[in-house]
Amino acid sequence: MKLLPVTSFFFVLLICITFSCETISNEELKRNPEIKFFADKSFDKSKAGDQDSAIYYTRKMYKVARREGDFKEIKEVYNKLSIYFRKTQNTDSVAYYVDKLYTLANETNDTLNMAKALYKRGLYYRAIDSFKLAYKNFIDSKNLYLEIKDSLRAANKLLDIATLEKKQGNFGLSQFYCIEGLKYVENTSHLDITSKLYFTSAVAAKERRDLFTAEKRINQALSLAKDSANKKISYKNIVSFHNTRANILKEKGDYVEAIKIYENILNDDLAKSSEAKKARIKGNLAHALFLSKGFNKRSDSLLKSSLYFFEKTKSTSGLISINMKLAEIYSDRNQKKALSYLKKVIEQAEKLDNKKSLYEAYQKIVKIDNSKENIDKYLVFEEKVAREKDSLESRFVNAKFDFDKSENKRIKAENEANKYVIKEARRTKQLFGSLLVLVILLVLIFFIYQRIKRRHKIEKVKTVHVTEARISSKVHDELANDLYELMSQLETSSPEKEMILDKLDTIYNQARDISKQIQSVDTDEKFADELSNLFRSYQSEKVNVLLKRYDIEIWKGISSHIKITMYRVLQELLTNMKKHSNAALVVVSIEKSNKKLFIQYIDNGKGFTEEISKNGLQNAENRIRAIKGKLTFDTELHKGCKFSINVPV
Amino acid sequence: MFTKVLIAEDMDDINTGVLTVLSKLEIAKIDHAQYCDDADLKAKKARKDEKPYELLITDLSFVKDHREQNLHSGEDLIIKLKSEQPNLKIIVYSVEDKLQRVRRLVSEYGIDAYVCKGRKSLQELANAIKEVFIGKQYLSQKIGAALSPKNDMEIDDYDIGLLKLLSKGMSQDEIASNLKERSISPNSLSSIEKRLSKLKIYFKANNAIHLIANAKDLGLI
Repeated sequence: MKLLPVTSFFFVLLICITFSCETISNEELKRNPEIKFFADKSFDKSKAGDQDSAIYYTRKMYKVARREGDFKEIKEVYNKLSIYFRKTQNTDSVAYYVDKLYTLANETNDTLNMAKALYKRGLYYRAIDSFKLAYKNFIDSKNLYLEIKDSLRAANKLLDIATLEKKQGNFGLSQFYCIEGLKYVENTSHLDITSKLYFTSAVAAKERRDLFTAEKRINQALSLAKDSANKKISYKNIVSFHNTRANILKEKGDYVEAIKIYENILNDDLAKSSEAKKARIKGNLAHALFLSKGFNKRSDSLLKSSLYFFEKTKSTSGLISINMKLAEIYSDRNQKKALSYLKKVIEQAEKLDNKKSLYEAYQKIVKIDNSKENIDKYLVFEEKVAREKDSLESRFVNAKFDFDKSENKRIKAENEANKYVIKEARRTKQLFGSLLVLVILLVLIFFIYQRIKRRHKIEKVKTVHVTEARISSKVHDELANDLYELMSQLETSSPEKEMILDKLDTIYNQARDISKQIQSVDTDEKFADELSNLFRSYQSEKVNVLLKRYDIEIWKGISSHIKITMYRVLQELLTNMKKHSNAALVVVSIEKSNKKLFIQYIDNGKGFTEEISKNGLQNAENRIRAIKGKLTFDTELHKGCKFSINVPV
Repeated sequence: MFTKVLIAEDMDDINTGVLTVLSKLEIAKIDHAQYCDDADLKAKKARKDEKPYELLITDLSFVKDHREQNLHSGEDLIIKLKSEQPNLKIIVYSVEDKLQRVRRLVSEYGIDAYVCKGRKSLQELANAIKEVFIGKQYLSQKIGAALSPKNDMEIDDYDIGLLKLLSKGMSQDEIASNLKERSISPNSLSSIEKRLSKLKIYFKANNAIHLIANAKDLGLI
């Protein structure tokens, strides 16, 4: 039970530590109920496809937010409106609200919403085929996301940029951005974005004829797809991956494997691929079959069905691709037919200003019909492609330079972050260290306290032993000796009865004195009484014990052990006086001043010699020393003695 | 003399001594009990028989033994019997000589005599019984001081001042006028005389010269 206060103290300490470590993080976001109502309502409506109602409720939400002056909610409103307007194909409104969102976010230093707005703006520009502006906004958005260390979103933006570059035929840049994106997400749990980046990189590499890298990348994408049993990567994407792999194999000349993959995809019922996709895959299959076996009926029919589909859906890029392939398979068999397909390619490619396709088409036309007109056209496009290549290269260098710069920044920031983490860790360590030291200290103090207590106990026991020894020697020296003397007297002679009785009475009184010296003393408010009774009890016909009147209040606040010591010392002095000094007068004075107790004892007895004093006063001296007091005496033979006791209280 | 006395005392030898004293005093009926409870019972029975005890002589401390007791000490017994039989005379006969205890027994519980055991205490006891019988109080010489006024043997600065003036060779008249000059009271001749005679007793002095000599010896002046 003695351990209880200690354990409870430790318990409290532990609780304190736990609470201080637990930072209050769950800052409850209090949202205005009205705003919340409209926000939920618009969300539900939009989900149900009713965009107009969603816009209506969002505008109501805007009014409340404006009234409350809640910028956060206003930004949310702009965000919502831009989404709903995009769903209604109202691109102008989308651009308007995206601009508003960006301006407000910029004003409120809200980097996250700035990045969001820039991305939306990029999407808007992409939708209206303003690729350069889209590209610029995506890049800005990405950089902002990196600033706030949202690497996942940054990687997503990079994928968009890479896809955009790929679409424009800038395969080197596309690959470059994929690699940058991968830096942020590779080996993380974001499998979807990672695999898409691998995929885009593979396609870009294939287009650059870097088949080795392309195969490596697409295999990485596919292994992720295999790993992700939890369908983080959509089936549609997996089909795309397979298709791309087959394309790469086809380029490599591994037609058998490529054909097998194409066939698998087409036969796979699970692959609910879109018709457009199927048409493309059919085109690819046909091309692979042609490359492996030369002209064959299956290739022809496959291509024609695809062509039919793309004509129907007016897909420019599809038409370019299929017509190009048809021209290729007919180039040896039927030059006229091939030429007409190539014309179609040119027609479509001009629509997209797809210089590469135009260049390829003219390259093929020249082989069939090398008229001056065609050769001129071919040379023009060759130059254009070359120039574009140059500009791409310079852009690539620029982008690389920018990237290096931002990469350096990022590395620096990362180092800073690491340093901070290390610092934090060190601080936590230090905290725990000091706590440990504290706990150890407390335990130590506890044990030391216990030891001191034990030592005190031992000392107490020792004191008891000393007292016992003193009593024992007193009983032996005073009682036993006198009794023995009386006994031997009785043995050798027959003394008078009265004499024996007198002797016995002396012995009896000695015994009583010894007992008195040990009996307890009242140390409460009756102590002054007790003390004057002590003096009175030594009062007799032979001796007058005079007490100089003093203020008995001085005993108040003096600790009991000092009182007892004073009592015992005075008792001892009086006993000595009675026994040895033959004094007729004793004067005792008691004073207290400046936290010092001053007691003086004077008698007019025989006084004593140095030797007697050593034995007789040893005990009184020890007692006074034990309470850090001082006992001084002054005596001369036949002239009484004077004791002064000085005790700090 | 008392006709019926009860003795409460656990030591047989002491009992014998007391009995001797009592028989010398020609007391008819003497009963004794070794336990306080027994004494209480006997007193109760005597009251019932309408022959109550007239005197109780009791010790204060009783040695504890195997018998379980309700009343543990003479003090308990005194309180009980005094409450049940207020006219009972009580003499305490004990080794105890603490003045405080004696004073309490006398003033609070109303005992009639206190005799300390010791040499010649039996004689004292006999005297005590006689005194108590005629309605007087008796205290042994040893603890006789218990009831004397408390400030009996106290001296103060006034006394020391008187002694100092006396040591200068002043007569009582001169002392009185000196005190008057310094407006210290009491300064009347009679009170000074009274005080000096008290001091003579305190300092065991036969005359003024002796008083000064003793005070000087003690270093008080």
